[in-house]
Amino acid sequence: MRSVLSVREVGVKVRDIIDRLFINIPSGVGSRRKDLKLGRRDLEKVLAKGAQWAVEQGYGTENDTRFIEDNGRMSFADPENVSEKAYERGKDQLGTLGSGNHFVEVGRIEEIYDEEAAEAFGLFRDQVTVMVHTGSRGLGYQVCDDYIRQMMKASEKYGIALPDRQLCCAPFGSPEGQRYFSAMAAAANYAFANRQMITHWVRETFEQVFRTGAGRLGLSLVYDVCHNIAKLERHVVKGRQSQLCVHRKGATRSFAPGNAEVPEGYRKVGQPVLIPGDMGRASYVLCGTGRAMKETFGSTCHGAGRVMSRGEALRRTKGRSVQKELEESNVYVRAASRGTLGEEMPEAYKDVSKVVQVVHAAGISRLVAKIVPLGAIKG
Amino acid sequence: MERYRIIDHEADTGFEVYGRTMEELFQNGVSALFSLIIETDALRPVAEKRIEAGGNGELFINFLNDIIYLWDTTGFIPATASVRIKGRSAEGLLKGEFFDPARHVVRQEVKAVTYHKFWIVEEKGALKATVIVDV
Repeated sequence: MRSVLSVREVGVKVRDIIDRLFINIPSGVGSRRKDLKLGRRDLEKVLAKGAQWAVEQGYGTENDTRFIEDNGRMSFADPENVSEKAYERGKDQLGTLGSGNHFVEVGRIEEIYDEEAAEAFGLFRDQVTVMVHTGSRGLGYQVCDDYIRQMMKASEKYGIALPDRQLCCAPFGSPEGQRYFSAMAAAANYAFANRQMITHWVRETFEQVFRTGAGRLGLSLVYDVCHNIAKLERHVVKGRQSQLCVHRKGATRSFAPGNAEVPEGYRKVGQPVLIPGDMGRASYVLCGTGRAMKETFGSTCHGAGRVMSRGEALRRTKGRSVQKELEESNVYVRAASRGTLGEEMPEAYKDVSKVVQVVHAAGISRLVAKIVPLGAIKG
Repeated sequence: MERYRIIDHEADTGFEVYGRTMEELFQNGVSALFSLIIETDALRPVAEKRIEAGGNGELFINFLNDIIYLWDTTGFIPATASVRIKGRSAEGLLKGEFFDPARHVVRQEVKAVTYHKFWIVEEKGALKATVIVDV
């Protein structure tokens, strides 16, 4: 999300913003908004309509959904193909951040690399931004677990040799393949709705801190992208337009200028590509390119990636306060668990600046802006 | 006998678990899994839950994933497990306690136990399973 605020206008209020985000957005195991109760019928609607359901309930505006991949709703979704167990896991977790590497980060644009693209995305130097990373939560994990059990059988049925059983699968057009695709789309819709609600609470938080309407703070969505999803897309293969199922795992979409899937206002420069780094260093905004369409089916990297195992990170942070260390470098962090804060310490990740240089040099996305963190909440 | 050993690589998190019998392998698997999720040192067996796992695929993986489901929906943390295996199904009697943020420290979010590199082998008269989790 962008704002109209510059870092000078926010100043010391960053701490207040982070503290209130931590109250308003449930983070960590078992936390949820007490003012939110969802019945089975509501959840079915969430799975069918995604972010559009959230907007209908008063979380954000129609304008937000224009800046979400697929407008925040995958039409393939079939809530009936989602198991009871998945519904059970999903009912109390909508509108929650979760734990692990999920976060909400308040940052400032430190550098602009591409003036034209930055202008199209509404970004400027020293601007205050907010980045949200969360997904389909336990409901999505359950959909995966349920369908792996089915795909174990399907792989045998269709005579598919598996180099690793985690890659069990079925032909896309088979009943098993179609059922899974519709359940995955339903989980994606849950994730879109989840982020849309959090977007709304980010706005409310800023309103509380600045005691003014969100409109005056200009908190609007730059873009909402997925980074673990399969989609039906048209790509040129051997000179011919073909429909493909593109699965981006640990990757994100990087569609080129002119692509009809890119929101109109961004179409001249390509879709925004958001690449979060670690808590202490930086995150980047890039844009999609024609080269990505040719070489990577319109895809690029989705983050920095770990350089240290989680256990190693925890051992190295034993007796240290990651929170204090970050504060010393002017990043104020609130985390639900000191355990998850340790494993997410900055040194545990590759330097994202080097990672984005690689994808920029390879031409599969282009650098637009660098964001440095001011503060974050973590699960 | 060592019950389990944590696998901790950059890309892979998981465990190797050992047991003299299949039942013991399952029981130790529960301990290994939860040692990744939470600090388990001071867990008390004050509450009970029963689970029954089965279905397609590996019983061991389904059993552990069903316990993750239990944890995610109820906050139940097993301290001990007693397991009975009958053909294609496994019954577990779990003793432990419910998550209390004031007392328990979460280590990481484990999304699922996976089939990646999964194997159960017999070594020197005991069973060994290799398990990688999705985090």
